[in-house]
Amino acid sequence: MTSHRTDDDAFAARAKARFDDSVRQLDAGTRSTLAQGRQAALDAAGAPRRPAWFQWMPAAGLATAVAVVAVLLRAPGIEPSLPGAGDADIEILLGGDSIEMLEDLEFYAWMEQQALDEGHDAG
Amino acid sequence: MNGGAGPGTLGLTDALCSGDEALPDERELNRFLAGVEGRALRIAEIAVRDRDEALDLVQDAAIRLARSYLARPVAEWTPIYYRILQNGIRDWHRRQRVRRRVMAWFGRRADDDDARDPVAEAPDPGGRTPDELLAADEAMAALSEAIRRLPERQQEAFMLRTFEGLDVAATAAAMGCSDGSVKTHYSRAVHTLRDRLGEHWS
Repeated sequence: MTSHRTDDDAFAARAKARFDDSVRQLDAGTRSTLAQGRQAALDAAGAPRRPAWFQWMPAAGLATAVAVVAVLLRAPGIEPSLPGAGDADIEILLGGDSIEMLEDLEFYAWMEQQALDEGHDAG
Repeated sequence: MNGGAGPGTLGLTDALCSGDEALPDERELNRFLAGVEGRALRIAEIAVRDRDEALDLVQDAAIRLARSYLARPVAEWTPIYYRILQNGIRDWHRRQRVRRRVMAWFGRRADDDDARDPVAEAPDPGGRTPDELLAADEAMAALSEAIRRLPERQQEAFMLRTFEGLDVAATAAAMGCSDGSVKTHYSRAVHTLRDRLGEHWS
């Protein structure tokens, strides 16, 4: 058992060494693009915050678009033109922000729970 | 909403909605992103097989972290950042699956350029001989391919634990699952990778 664990650890160490090597090999152009992305994030951190209700507007628009497309596809006398396309597919095609936002909401709940747990632990 | 949080800890809802909280030092954010972005890029690249797509995912994760989670303690940024990145990767895969179905319906392939291997494209500034470089590239390419063949959750557990060096709890936070699930996914991933790559891989 210990030997197996040691072998696993040795394998992981070799994989980590190869991975770190591949990170060091990143070319100047890629590093420059990463730096530009980092600057965009820093700009976003300094940008004025939008009010909370504003963040829901894209999702509301998307939900409306999904509803319109779904109604059109299911209107009497109109056959769906894309076999196998469900509401989820339509939503993904129209844009992914709502999915990410829903996952964020789950994450927000988790973060809140973490904060509550920390509060209980501290108390 | 903020009632149970510890002293000095903003409730997340408050942090998101108040709009007037003090921004943390941007140098701290710059330092964090500079330290994590290279590894994050390679992790995303292994997952999506495309450097440009991976760059977009990494930038998106950085911007989301900056916009929504700067009020969190710096110690929490790493699991939060990787949670955002993994969500982005999962969404990317979902969109690719849908896109392939739609493009198949139109009689075209959506992944005509998926044959690129970004690992093989990376130049080496280390001054090694061509043989050494080739061996390193081949070893990493084999590892990348073996990782891609794992189930998504095993990929995440292996890369976060091994490549990013997150502990079990931080990996669980990044993946949104229990510590036990992380241990199971990681153990299965290591065993599968060892079997596929063989004992002589290095």
